[in-house]
Amino acid sequence: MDPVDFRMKNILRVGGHTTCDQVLDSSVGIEKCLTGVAAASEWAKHREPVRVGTKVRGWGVGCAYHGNSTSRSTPDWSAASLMIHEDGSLTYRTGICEIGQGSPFGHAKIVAEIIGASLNDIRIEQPDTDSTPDSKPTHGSRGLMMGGTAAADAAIKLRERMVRVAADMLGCPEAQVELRDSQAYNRKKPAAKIPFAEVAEQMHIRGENPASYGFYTSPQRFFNPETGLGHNYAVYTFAASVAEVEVDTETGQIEVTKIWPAMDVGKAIDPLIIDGQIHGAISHGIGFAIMENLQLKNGVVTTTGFKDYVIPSALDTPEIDDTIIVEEAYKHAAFGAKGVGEPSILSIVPAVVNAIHHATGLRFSTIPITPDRMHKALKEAGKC
Amino acid sequence: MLKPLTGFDLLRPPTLVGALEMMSTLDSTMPIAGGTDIVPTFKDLGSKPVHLIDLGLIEELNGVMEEDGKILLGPTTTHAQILASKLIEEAAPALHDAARWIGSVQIRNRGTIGGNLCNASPAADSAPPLLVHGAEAHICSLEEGHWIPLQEFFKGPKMTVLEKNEILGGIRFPSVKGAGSSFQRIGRRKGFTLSVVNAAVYAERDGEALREVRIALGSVAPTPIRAPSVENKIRGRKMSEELVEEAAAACGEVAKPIDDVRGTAEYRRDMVGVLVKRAMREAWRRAGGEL
Repeated sequence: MDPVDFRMKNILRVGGHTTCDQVLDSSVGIEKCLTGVAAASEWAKHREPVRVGTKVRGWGVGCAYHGNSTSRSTPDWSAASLMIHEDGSLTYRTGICEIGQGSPFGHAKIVAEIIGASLNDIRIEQPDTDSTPDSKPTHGSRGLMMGGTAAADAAIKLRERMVRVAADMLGCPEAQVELRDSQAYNRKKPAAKIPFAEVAEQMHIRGENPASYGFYTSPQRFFNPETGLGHNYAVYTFAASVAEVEVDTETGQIEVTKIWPAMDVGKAIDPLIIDGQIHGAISHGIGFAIMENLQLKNGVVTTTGFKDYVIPSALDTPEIDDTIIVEEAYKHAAFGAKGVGEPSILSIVPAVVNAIHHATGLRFSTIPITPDRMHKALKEAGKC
Repeated sequence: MLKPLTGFDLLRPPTLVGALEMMSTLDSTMPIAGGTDIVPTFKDLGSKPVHLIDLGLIEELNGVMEEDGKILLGPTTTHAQILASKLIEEAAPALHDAARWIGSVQIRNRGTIGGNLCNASPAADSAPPLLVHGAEAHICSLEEGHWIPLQEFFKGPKMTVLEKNEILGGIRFPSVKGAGSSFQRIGRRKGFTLSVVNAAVYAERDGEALREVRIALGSVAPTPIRAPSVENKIRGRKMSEELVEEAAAACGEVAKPIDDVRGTAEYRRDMVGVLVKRAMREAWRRAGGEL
């Protein structure tokens, strides 16, 4: 059966059960991801491997889903704090760390959207475990989903006070106040506007608390370690990818030549950051599938540096098609956003390995499929 | 954790004689050119002080030139210089091929041909091309220098014939009109990686026959090696796909590779055949032959 058709029969849909018997009630975007990458890659046209000289080109598809949050249904929460200063600028604090992934910047965008502040006016403070609100760990693809929702809670609370003061200053009902570009407007008379600096100054003078604390707790989950069944995660991110590879059947060398990625992110808070995560994960995934090989001798690691432990370089990065972003919102998170960090690597490895199978007819149960492993398998199958 | 670099004195003599005097008189000397192989080893030398003799200011040691039918290569010529040299591209295409894939752009800008040879890695990419072009190495000391065939320069992994007071002063090889050569390698990614195995083939054509052929293999023995038994078997014969297959199979017998983190012995032996085939075909085509 065609690999995409096979997956279309088996993928999760709303009302479906996960392998842990959890019923998914919403935010299940895998069908759109799979349909999207199949169309973008012209899957139906690539059903036969193509030989060019010593190389064979093949196409493979991979699907993935990944929970957002700490595993085994550990209680999960996140906190954040937000403060507006007398000059109208804001300080945002979260325990979610910036580790190159961009989550805190995503929080700032959520805050900016709710408060109507210019992004440039929001300073993200480096976390300090002594004083920063507890946002639990920066892991489990939870940084944006959990942390960003706490940020939204803090922003909504601050916004109420800002609107209250601004309405009085503008002489209009609260419902007519609009906050935009770090200014407060009367929606009925847009010419009348007050900069946030003045709103903030009045908040201080009138005793409206200029700081707010946001807090978000994940819906309760349960997991039975005896049976492996339960409601593991409140929500899952879904992804699908198609990979195109070329296998040199003389040398066993594999080149990933193109990837078509798709992901159900709930809501794209920052499409550029999503692309960054996915492009990085494609490189990681290629390393995982065909290069990165931690070797041991008598229990001692022999690949002790990057000279011997080879990871993909820029030259090994394939052409990457435009990311297909699917937005099946998560009802409990700010703007419906879900995490993209870990989910983005998961579909790459099976897509690459399946493409290798398509090209060569060979199945591997061990990764990485290094040139010597590929060559050995081809030799044993009489294919080189 | 990163270890601190060992303490060292960097000496920068402007002349070759100056460098050789330092090599003869100072303790714990080590010549340095691009430093791309030496600097990473400093971390393992502890605090032992070293006199580093930088050869970078000595003009006569740098550059590519042709003289009396021979190509002369200064040891401090960088891989980037070799890559940019039209003379090398025409006279020694295999060396030009190798320079393209050594290290990364940054390494090719710093790293030198002399350094690559003196580091004496069995996987050194510049060695097989020079071996097949019949290169010689100039051994310099305060006494009169002498030329030796490059295959005698390598003693074992990371070992050369150079004595404490000697440096590699130059490399030369004949420039032969109409000859072709090719270098092939297998790395574990596209760039910036050591060769798992590499090979070079040099061919001169006499009509349809291989008037002269030389084969060198890397990363299949303690040093880069020539394959004279194979060369003798195919020299003078009519070029054909069958001859290519025969040479490749025979090279697989010559190779004595080992298993290591970069690849298995079996893989290396099989790949010697593949690379020799590819290099032989390309060298033949570059010599103007058809196949």
